[in-house]
Amino acid sequence: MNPRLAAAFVTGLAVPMLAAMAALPRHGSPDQPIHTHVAREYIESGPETGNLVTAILLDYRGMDTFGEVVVIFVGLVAVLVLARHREPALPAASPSPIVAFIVRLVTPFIALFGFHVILSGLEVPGGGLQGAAILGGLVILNGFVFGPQHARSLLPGRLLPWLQGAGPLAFLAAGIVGGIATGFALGYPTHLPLLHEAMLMGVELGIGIGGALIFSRLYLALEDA
Amino acid sequence: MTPLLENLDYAATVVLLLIGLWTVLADSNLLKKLMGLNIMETAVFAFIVTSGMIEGGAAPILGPDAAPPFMAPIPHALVLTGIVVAVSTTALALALLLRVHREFGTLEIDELRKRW
Amino acid sequence: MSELFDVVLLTLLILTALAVARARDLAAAAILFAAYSLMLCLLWLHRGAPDVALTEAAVGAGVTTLLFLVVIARTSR
Repeated sequence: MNPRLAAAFVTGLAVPMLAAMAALPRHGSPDQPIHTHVAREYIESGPETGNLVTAILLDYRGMDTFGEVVVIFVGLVAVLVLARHREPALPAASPSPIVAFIVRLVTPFIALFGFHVILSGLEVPGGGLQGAAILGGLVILNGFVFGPQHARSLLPGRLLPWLQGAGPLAFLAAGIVGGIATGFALGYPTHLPLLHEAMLMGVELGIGIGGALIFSRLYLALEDA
Repeated sequence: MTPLLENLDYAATVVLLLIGLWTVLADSNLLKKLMGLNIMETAVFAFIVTSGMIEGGAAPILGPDAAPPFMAPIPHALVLTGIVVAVSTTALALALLLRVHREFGTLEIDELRKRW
Repeated sequence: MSELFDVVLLTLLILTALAVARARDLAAAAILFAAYSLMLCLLWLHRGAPDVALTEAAVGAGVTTLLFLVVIARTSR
């Protein structure tokens, strides 16, 4: 489209949209509908301590998160199908010594932080999805600096096909265990604190490790395409 | 004009959405269009997070030191899911663009029209 | 003070988004997109959404930008 025409169209669109924004309840005020219904209910009767966002992701909207891990898994499958044609991998350009040193220096710390974020998500900001993004970004960073072959060597070899699906598999397992313990699929047995904790941790680890491997494989597939 | 000034944060997300839309419509490079699409996505996320904000509120993490009011946690969970799905759709779009580039040797929309 | 911070952050956000839209060079646009994501991350931290900010910092400035750079490098040969 002609840039002038597009600019005129976008400017025209701005008027009704800004008018709609002006008609919304004043932002930040505590009596907006968003704060007076579900959110207040959840803050008052949800878990007493810990990170409410993680609790919502795993429990209140657990089915939604299950759907999401399935979506990113299917996204990986689609990318792998599209990127099937293999060309000989490029030899990695030798990185500048400063960049290589810094990346080697920070890699173990970022990996540690990623696992910390996955496992402490119930108490402080963090969780499976965040940790997956950090660990996946770390593998991609290494591949970007040292070449895709190096990134591939960071991934687990034989277990990779199973670990890639760890998110959906962990959710399935938690759904079955929860179903047996409470009678509802993905129900969490709050009367058995140890089992409850173990289920939450298992799902977090599944989302985190599975998601990190899916991000890494997405990068490798684009590199090989 | 006053209501719009009070909702300045919402207005900023609309501007971001329109900048993204302009990139999608006007730029001739498919990769730039994809970046425009990403800007539109993040503008919607910013709008949803902003709607859950409460004046002087704390992050929705409960504990002995935390005191209400808390930000609404549900929009945060919604956006968290959305961001991760957005990455996988972006990766899918990039894989499609690589295929287009292998078939036609270009990502400029004008060039692509000629070789169709 | 907090309002001023908000206005400065929103202005920077819109400026970086405009810079992405206007950049001629694709690699420059990708790096500007990373800067845009970091602005957004700061905004969300300021809005009391640390979880979302953490994800956006790792995804927007890390994964998405690097994927863009990989494809730019592979298509500009």
